[in-house]
Amino acid sequence: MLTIEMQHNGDIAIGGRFDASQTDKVRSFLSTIETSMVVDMTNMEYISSAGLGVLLMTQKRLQDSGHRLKLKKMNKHIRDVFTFAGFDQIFEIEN
Amino acid sequence: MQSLEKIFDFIGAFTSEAGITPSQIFPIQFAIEELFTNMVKYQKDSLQDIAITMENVGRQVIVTLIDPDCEPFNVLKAIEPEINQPLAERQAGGLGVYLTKKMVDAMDYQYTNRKSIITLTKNLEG
Repeated sequence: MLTIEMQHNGDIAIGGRFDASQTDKVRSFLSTIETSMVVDMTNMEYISSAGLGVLLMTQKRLQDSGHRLKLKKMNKHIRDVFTFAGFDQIFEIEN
Repeated sequence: MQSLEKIFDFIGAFTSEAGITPSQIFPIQFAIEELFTNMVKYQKDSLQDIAITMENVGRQVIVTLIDPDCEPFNVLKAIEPEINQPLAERQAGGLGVYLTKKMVDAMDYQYTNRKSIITLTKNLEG
């Protein structure tokens, strides 16, 4: 299952499995974001292309107003997915 | 998409019994989800279930996805997305099959009598 919540430090934490069945949940949460945010992926176990799509569309929307998502602490497999997809060129990634 | 939960449970049960490590599981889960959702997306009118089989052969996992009644769609010939475009030009579609090819060691597509069979091979390293 997937969890998504705002942490006390202001980061958004997404944990668990971000697969195609969870896109509505994440999209709904991220649709309320209007400013630059950090997404903490420490507890994200898995992401599929459906999840990448939600992050991409959010980043595109935020860029229109000069804001961006920064992603941090993704595991090696997710990092590979981002690299293969060229998403390391459109997201700032911190580990 | 409600089937995904069952599919992940199936993968978990198989990989646990086969002694496959959590690190080795990721590409298998990814490939199965991407190809399954692709089959569902492009065969919305089909009333038949998609079958998924998994087999551990030596140091390989072999997965087949079978859609028994569908139009042909050769995933091996899917158009690759442009991954070096700037953000404003990036599209969300097309990544699933492309990334799957990166994650597995071999992929095969067969189509006969309205039946599609995709076979994936993933070598288990380590």
